[in-house]
Amino acid sequence: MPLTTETMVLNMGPHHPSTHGVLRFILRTDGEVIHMCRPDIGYLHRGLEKIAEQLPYAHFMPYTDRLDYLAAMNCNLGYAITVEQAADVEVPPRAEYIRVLVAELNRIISHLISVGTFAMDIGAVTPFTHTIREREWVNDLFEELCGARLTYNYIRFGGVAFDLPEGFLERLSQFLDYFEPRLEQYNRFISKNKIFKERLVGVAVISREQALDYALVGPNLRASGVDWDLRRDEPYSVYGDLEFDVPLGISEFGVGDCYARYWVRIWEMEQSVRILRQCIAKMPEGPYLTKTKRKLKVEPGEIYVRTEAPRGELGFYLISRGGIRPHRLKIRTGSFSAMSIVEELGSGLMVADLVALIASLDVVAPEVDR
Amino acid sequence: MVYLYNKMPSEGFFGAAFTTVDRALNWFRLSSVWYLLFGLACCGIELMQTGGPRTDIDRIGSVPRPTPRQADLMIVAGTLTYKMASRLRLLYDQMAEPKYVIAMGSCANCGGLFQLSYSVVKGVDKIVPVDVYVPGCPPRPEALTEGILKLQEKIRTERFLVKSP
Amino acid sequence: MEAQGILERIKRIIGDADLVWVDDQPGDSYLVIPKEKLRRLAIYLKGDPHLAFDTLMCLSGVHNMGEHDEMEVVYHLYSLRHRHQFILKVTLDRPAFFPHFYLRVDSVSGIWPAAAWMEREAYDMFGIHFVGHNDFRRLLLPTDWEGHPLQKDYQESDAYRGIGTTREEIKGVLAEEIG
Repeated sequence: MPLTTETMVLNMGPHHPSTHGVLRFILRTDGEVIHMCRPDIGYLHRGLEKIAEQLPYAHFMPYTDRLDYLAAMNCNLGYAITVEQAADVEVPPRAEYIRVLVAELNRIISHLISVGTFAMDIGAVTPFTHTIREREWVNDLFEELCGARLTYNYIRFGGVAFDLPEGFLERLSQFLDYFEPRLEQYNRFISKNKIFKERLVGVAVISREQALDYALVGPNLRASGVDWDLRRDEPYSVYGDLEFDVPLGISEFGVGDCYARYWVRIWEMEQSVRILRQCIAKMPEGPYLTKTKRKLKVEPGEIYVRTEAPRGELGFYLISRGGIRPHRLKIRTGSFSAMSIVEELGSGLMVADLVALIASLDVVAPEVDR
Repeated sequence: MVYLYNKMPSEGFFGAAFTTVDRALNWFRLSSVWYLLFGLACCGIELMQTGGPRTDIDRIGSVPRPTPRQADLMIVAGTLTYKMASRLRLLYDQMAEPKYVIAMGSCANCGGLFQLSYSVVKGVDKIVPVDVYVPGCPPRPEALTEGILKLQEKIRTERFLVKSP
Repeated sequence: MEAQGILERIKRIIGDADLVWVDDQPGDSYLVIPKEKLRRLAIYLKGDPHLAFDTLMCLSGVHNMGEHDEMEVVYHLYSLRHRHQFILKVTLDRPAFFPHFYLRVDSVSGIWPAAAWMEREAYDMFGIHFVGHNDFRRLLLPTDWEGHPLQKDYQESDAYRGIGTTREEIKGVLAEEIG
């Protein structure tokens, strides 16, 4: 009598050590190979868009911190630029440079967590403790700047909340001198490790057409070979005056696989260090905030502004009917598109490859659910 | 057997012996409170940092476990939504006695700044009984460490063998 | 290509009737089209080599309860090849009786696969049905949730499966502070 096998329905539940936050996947597997993978989201849906309709514009700033808590400065910056363009608020040059400085510093620590948890999901637990140690140094810097370690609420309409303290730029330079050789250390640790390469090269390749169809953005898009970065192609703030390269994920191992997505983040950290050194050198003197009214009134109209956060393009679509509250605020995040592609790519992978795919797409749950 | 258990002596030679056994049992339990990783949102990152190299709660005995069957403590770190609430209760029921819950952060204490939201449970104590509330948004690692130390104080005063004071 | 050039090409394909081009207010300008012409226009916008809108940046629903109760679906399109963007809007009436018969619009998820999840989210939040979607159900809220939260006249229920929705000790405090 021939042996029969059946497919099994497996729940990779919302509470799982390898999913980045509360994400759930329903898998139909035949042994180790997945036939169907369906993501189920909404376990961290907090209704930010409804809250935005009930609060004045400035009161919504702390909520943008919690939108993507690993890159809180970038989310603050995106929202501030949206409302400033809608309400015609000028920003002094010193404030622009400070904003770019904190945004790039936040990009470094966001990619550090991403790379660290990526290695931990593959099985290498030690690099995670190293990246957390680097993050503590930067948390100290942010704490002396604005008082908080994770959710900063630092950027205001018309500038920033506090000026740079005495000696901040020297301490930041010391951190950059300490950090740059560390990237080479990570490369020796894991990036060129044989097991790491075996697990990631050729896994879950996203072609250029697929990436554009599913509206992927950020490092995921650049790893598939599409040369698009909002900081260089549609410059906002003072990115037009700064020199930096945009790394693409084309290595000798291929394009668009998990290994390429990992390398793009390592190279982006190097470029962020370069931008930071230029900001420190070019920091102008002057005021750091243009005062605006506490309950800001915005003319009727609508606007869509996008900025480059570590996880891709962060878009704020704001409709205003006059008055102090928005009529509609829609937030478009990069992780939402990244989750939607998992269903298509999941079939044919093994369960361990699915873990590598989710970690390489760098998904955080509040960006998916808002 | 239960009749005899409730009549354990609390004074005299046997009373002293059993209260010392109680104290020893409590000391064993509080020195190794293993916690279940239940990071939901931003407080989950601070939970990870508290287990990291600088503020290391491994030195007070707390090691992270991914499964509820091996954990004594559940640190609910982050915002709880209605969709997630049933899973929280399920995992709490899967932990073995004696078990404790720490509500970390404003969202777990009372809903936090998401009071205006339609899909957030306004406080974890609507679902599970909470022993220690740690305020903050997110709480510093030092604050969470103090929360665990307060829980250890609470465990120190528990009584198993000798029921009456 | 400039917005007027794109507009000319669009008018050649779907004609002039019922198109409203709005560009007199601060911010972005957009084109309002009737919902019957959406699918044909979407196929043309993606396929034409001079326009080549290969990315759907954002799909959102909007609920307006002014003198007229209506909903809108807004499409933000972008072309990576030509570096231009365009905004389309479709307006749907929302009458008081059987609104779900009228809040129907064609799905564009066959043309831009990114729209699949965005349309599910618009249904979840507003109650707009997208016809032709291959996996149409709620995305973010639990499956037994009643109502669509982002509608302007949404009433929150007192409890969900027995869990109360307010906290007695701080009820009313927040409303004073917002003002």
